[in-house]
Amino acid sequence: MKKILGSLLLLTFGLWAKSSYEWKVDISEKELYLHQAATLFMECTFDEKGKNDDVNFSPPADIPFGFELLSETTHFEAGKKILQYRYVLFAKEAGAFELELSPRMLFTTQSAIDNVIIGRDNVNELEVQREIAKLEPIRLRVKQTASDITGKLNLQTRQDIQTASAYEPVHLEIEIEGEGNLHKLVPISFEIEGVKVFSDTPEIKIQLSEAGYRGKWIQRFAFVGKEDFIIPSVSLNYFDLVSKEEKILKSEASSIKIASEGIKREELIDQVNLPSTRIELKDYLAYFYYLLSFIFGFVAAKLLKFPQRTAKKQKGEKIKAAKSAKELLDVLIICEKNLFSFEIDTLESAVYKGSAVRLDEIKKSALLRL
Amino acid sequence: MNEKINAIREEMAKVVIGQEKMIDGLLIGLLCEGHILIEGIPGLAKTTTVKALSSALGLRFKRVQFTPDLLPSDILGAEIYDPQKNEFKIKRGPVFTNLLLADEINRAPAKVQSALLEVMQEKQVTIGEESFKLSPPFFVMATQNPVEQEGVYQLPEAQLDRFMMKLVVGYNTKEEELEIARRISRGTSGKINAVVTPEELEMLKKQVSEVHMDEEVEKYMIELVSATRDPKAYGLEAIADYIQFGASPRVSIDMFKAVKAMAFLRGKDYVSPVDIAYIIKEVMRHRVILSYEAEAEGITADFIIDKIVEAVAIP
Repeated sequence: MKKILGSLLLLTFGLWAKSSYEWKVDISEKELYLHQAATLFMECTFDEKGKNDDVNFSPPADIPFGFELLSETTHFEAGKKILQYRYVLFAKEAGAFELELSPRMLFTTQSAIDNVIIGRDNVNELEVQREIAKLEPIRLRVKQTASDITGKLNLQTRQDIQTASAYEPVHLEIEIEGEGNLHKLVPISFEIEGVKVFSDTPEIKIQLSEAGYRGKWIQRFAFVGKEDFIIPSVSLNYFDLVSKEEKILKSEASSIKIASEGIKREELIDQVNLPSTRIELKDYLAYFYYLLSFIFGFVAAKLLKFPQRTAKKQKGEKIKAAKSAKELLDVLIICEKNLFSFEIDTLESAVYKGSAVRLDEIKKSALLRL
Repeated sequence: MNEKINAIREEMAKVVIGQEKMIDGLLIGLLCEGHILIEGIPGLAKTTTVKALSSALGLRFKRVQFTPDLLPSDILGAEIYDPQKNEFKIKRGPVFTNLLLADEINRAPAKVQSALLEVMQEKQVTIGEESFKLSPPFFVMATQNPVEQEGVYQLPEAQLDRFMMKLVVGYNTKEEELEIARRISRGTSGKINAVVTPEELEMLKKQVSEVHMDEEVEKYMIELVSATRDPKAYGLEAIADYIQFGASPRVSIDMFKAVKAMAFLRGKDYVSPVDIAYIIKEVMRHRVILSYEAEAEGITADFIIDKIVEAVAIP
């Protein structure tokens, strides 16, 4: 009851104390080409009462644009709380669109926050009043393009040698650099008869910018052949945003000359196997480590066993050294008496009752039990 | 050895297999009227052995299972109001017996354990304003679980000192365990008959008290007890730090009695250092209070006693 009354009071207070706000929305490009990026800028300014208020905005999922958050900041200007968002939009479909954005406004009060912090009246959740803000729709037009890649791109190739020995690898690096949807580039593959082509997974060094993704897309190859061969040219169709037209990025075909036969293929295979049989320094260290561990374990086991053997040996020596029945009886009492109960009984009656005893036989019997 | 002792052993062997050291210890307690503490993990026939002994003796026997919620009045007795006579009357507890088996004594809290102190030492019980002498013989045989086990309390030193001997029970041998399992599965454990009358028991005690003990042996025992108090005087500097308190004078008193009974059980009419060697740990191990250093290093009272026996010259 107390909690309900408290909540009603807080809600009433919250309704009365709700702050006002103002949204500004802008977009860098209103006419886009397919896959082109544009920056959406959103700014919400609360009045002086809205220092505790907040915004919960998730980009709509059912629209033909991809959203990536570029930045989100909160700051105060003249006592007013200002939230700024920058999103990068990627056009996924051609056509004319109206982008309707509906951020959720969250209003609360300082006393509601205090109630949560100190747990007053068993309050577990922050008392929040929610409201959907309707922003001015953004009209966008997306133009169709023929290719899947759009941007401002350059292509470069780097090749290490032009002449090689047979089976000597020729390395080629293809780099596409610039702005655009670089993350959509597909790996390149080569098919050259008589040439073994090794290819790395493309290395993508890109980061989000206002113009979409910016950076480099690099793929590396190695070509191994025994006769002359040609590395064919590579071409990439894309829509160029500078000239506003479809373009093709193309590399030059490269002719590789095999200067001599070099080493035979069989020898190359043997050489490939060589590293697995060669023992390197780290292997020697590992062997040495295992050997040392074994020796240490062996020595430790011996040392641990040693005191037991020594104790047993000492007892045996004491038994052997006993010169009289009394001396031997004392030794056996101090040793494990339960083990020598027969010998102790015999010696006891000899020592204290004067009965006859053969000391050597008793010693032998005791030593056998030890 | 006395026929009666053999008869008791034979009766006990009907239900107890092996555990000769425990049986010897109990017999020594019986002959010396000393209280016995038996320690061992559950399932080692501690309670069975004590019950078997009481049956073989034909004495009045009571058993109290010590539990954490036990109260002193549960074992001593209490004053109960009689509405018909409009007066309080004494309801006697289970301590009014000859042989009291305090089972798992260290499961009860300290106040209950302390309630036994007066009974064990003075052999009398005070209920309300009245004190009652217990009819002889009276002795307590207590079993306890090792302190390392859960739900057990450490017995106070004063009470431990009242126990003449502490017997540590170990596992049976494989052959003994096979025989136990066979006998239990067949249900062939025999009925124990009372083979000793109270008069015969008194006779046995008299015979034990008549066992000869040489003055040299008496002095040897005093030296052993003294070595626990001042180990450095016996060249035992290495163990001096492990002992917090040495054995009390009760140890000497009990040792004098116990070694005679030990010699008697071994069929002799004189005490030799051998008898002392056989019984010293049982008499002393619970009365030598070890220091923190000893506990930290895993040193036991038995180890200390071994070192003392090695150091003190045997007469």
